Amino acid sequence: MRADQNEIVGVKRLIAMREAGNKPEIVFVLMTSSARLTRIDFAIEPSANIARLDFRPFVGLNVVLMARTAGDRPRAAFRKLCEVADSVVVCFTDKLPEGDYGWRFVRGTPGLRRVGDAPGAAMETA
Amino acid sequence: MAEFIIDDDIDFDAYMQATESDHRVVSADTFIDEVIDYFHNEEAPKGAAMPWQKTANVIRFRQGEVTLWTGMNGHGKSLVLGQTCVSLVMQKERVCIASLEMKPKVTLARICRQASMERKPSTEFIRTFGEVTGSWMLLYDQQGTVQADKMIALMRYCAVKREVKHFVLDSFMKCGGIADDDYTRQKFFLDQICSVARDSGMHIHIVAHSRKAKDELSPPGKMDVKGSGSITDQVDNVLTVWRNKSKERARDEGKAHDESEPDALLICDKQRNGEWEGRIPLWFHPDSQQFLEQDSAHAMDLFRPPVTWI
Repeated sequence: MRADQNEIVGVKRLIAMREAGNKPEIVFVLMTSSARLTRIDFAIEPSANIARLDFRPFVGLNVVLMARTAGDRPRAAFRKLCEVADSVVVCFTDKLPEGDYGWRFVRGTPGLRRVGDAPGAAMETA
Repeated sequence: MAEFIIDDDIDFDAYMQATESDHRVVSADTFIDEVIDYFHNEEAPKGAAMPWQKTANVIRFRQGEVTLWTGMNGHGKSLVLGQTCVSLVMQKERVCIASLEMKPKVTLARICRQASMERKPSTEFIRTFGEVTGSWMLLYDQQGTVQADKMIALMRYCAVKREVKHFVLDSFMKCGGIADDDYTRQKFFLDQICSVARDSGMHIHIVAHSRKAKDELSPPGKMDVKGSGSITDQVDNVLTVWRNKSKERARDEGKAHDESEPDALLICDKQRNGEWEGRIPLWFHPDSQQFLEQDSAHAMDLFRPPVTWI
């Protein structure tokens, strides 16, 4: 995708689905390029300007955001998704072997929860 | 992976409309990285290129823009555009051509002839052409007048459902219900076209004839576009195709003429997001109906893109 067409890859399919009155139970947003996407997979290309991306089509959805490593871009995408989605789980694939690999936001509940198998992973955090 | 699609419990259209302004009004710092790229990142995307090396660094078709192609009747606007469409396809930019003045078969035959580099492409080449263009070149199977609102809907459909990157409307004045002198409706129609381009990221190419001039011997300018004067104000780029009829006439009549003079000019009169404006001399290759960047007996191989596209 080119920087001047700043959009989440595949989002037009989601918009069409929602305009038709349907929604997926869960969607996956991958921070990657050249992803092979299904109807419920979406991608944020490395060249995309996150601040300008339109996350509104994800309103009310349960979203899994996957990025390779933590950093400013996944954090910014996570925050934007939390503004609209019902729940967002962010996972960092490089952390998967460590058992404690991300964060979870659920609308209506305070703070974020850690996600993973490590002791204390489900601990409530501010 | 199984997909679980359920009924939506949100009035999605209402939500998108209600939040539109909030999404669109953004602070300047949102664009800072893009501004840095604009000045310092030479790798930043420049837009799709035309088929010629000498246009590669000066004219680009950027996403979300509208280009007006103008020129006098019979001066080769559609031919230059057809040749350009092949090069767009070779850059993996999906094209849809709505040629309301020609049957799709004829439109495609002319483009195929240009790609074949000869007067009559072989059956084998035509099949290869079909494979190469495949789903990358779409044609709107409709001739004659089309209502303007139907054309807008078609453009949106192509952008959203068919992932078209370049939509060619040949020609603007064939969109019905708009009289030649109905400048207000022309302005409104073009405004809608610009909105589709901007919202979808699709580049829209519009062909519009020039007004009838006293003679064809000097090139028309952007002020000579038929219809409302605001047409050229609204679009991002204006390209004029002009054929050197005085050279053609001298050659046809066996009179002395300068072969180094170009057969045609591609004139860039406006480029809102590019700095260059000027004239590109081109030479016509009659067998293939291609325009070449130098006087040559050999047509260009449009299936082999120049490296400068990258």
